[in-house]
Amino acid sequence: MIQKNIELGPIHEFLPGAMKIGLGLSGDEIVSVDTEFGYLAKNLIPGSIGTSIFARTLRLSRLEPESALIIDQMLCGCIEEAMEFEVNPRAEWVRLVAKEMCDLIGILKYLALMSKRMKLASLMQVLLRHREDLVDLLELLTGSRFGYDYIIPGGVRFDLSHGLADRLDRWIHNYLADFDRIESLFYWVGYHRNFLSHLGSVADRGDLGFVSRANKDHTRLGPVSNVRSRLDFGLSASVSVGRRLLELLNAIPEGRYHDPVDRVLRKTQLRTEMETQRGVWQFYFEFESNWSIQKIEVNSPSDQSIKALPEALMNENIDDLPLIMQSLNFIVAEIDK
Amino acid sequence: MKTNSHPTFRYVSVGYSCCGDDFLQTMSSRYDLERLGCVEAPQPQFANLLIIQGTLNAKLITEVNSLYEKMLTPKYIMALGTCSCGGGLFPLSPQHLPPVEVWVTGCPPRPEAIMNGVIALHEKVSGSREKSKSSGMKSGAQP
Repeated sequence: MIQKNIELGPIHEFLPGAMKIGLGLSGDEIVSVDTEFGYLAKNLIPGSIGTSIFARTLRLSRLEPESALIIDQMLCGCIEEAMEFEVNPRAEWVRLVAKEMCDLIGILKYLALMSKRMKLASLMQVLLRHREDLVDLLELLTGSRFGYDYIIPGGVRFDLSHGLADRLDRWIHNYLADFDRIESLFYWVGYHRNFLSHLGSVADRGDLGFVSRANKDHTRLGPVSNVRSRLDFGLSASVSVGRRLLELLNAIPEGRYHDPVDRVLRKTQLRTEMETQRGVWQFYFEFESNWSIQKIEVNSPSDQSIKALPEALMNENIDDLPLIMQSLNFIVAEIDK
Repeated sequence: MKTNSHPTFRYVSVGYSCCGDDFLQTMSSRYDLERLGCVEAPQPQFANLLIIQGTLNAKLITEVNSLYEKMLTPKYIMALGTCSCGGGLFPLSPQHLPPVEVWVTGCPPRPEAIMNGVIALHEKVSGSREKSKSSGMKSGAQP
């Protein structure tokens, strides 16, 4: 038997390192597969050692509560689609409200980090204060600060609690009333006093995370113009998401927030694709036919798919390796596409 | 002679995770971690507290060890979150870590829990743990 190592990656900077696949070959046949995750950790270490919390979190814009909620939404959407189950409109509406809240939390975090980057500590505190209030409301709705396990097959786990819509409405109005102040601080104080001095700072390019990574071959002004466009996007997105949330709150339909999923499923293994806002995610999951879901394996088309690789490769021909790996789609759909 | 009953912690932090998200919130005006004497150090050479947030892998642990060696003495470690305390999604035995003074569990830990961890570390360092226990104060962190 011959031992071969295949190294993948670095895949993406927010993944903790590259992957390594160790293959045992008997002739052309694959007889053993060993996968190792985080083999090089090439991207994690430079960003996580010796930089500030702000620089690291800026790199991790994907680690938002929205991500957890989207994964739950994808999984439940797959199950409901497979069972031809129609979700109550109120449940769909509440899901949307939770998703928009998470979206806004992520945007506020980004703006707070950006204001810190522009050396506007007081503005960062203002934004974090708004964000904290919103996180409290999300916790009131979902029971946790990151929205895990809130969306379930057939609806959501809890309905909008009494007074939550009013509090959320009040929060949005407060934020929109405060927005002019925030915007002017960003643009006038930030740009003209501190941010312009930031233009020539080559050393800060590393702190800009993926912004500098995307512009590493460009001029020195590249990262700054990129930051400016991101800042514009973040500010306008916070207002538009807030207004959309307000519209959602004013039109929540009546009805049940959860319908029991009571159809019996036969033992099967499903593979389906769901199109999301950010790309296509694939899911593989298994059911057992005794009224409860025995096992669910959610494999997004990223590093998680590596768990399926040993079974997919075992006893296959080595020539088919690229095709099998391509079918598993080892990329991060939402970014790399 | 007791010279420093409430020492200032100058921390550096390691790791990526949602714990970092809540740690960021702990620094906001509502919780204000700095009032507990916990400020960020510009470089590891000026730090005496290492805060490990979330996931660790084998390669990162060697870096944590080298970072720990660079820090000022006496030095302390606080582990935040389920991943760094027990492995979480990425099982890794905590025995590979340098000695951890305070474990703050949770996925992610709330800002109150993080602040409790800092208070527990204060008590542990200043030797007033027994005194606080006798006066009825409770510590949220596991030693």
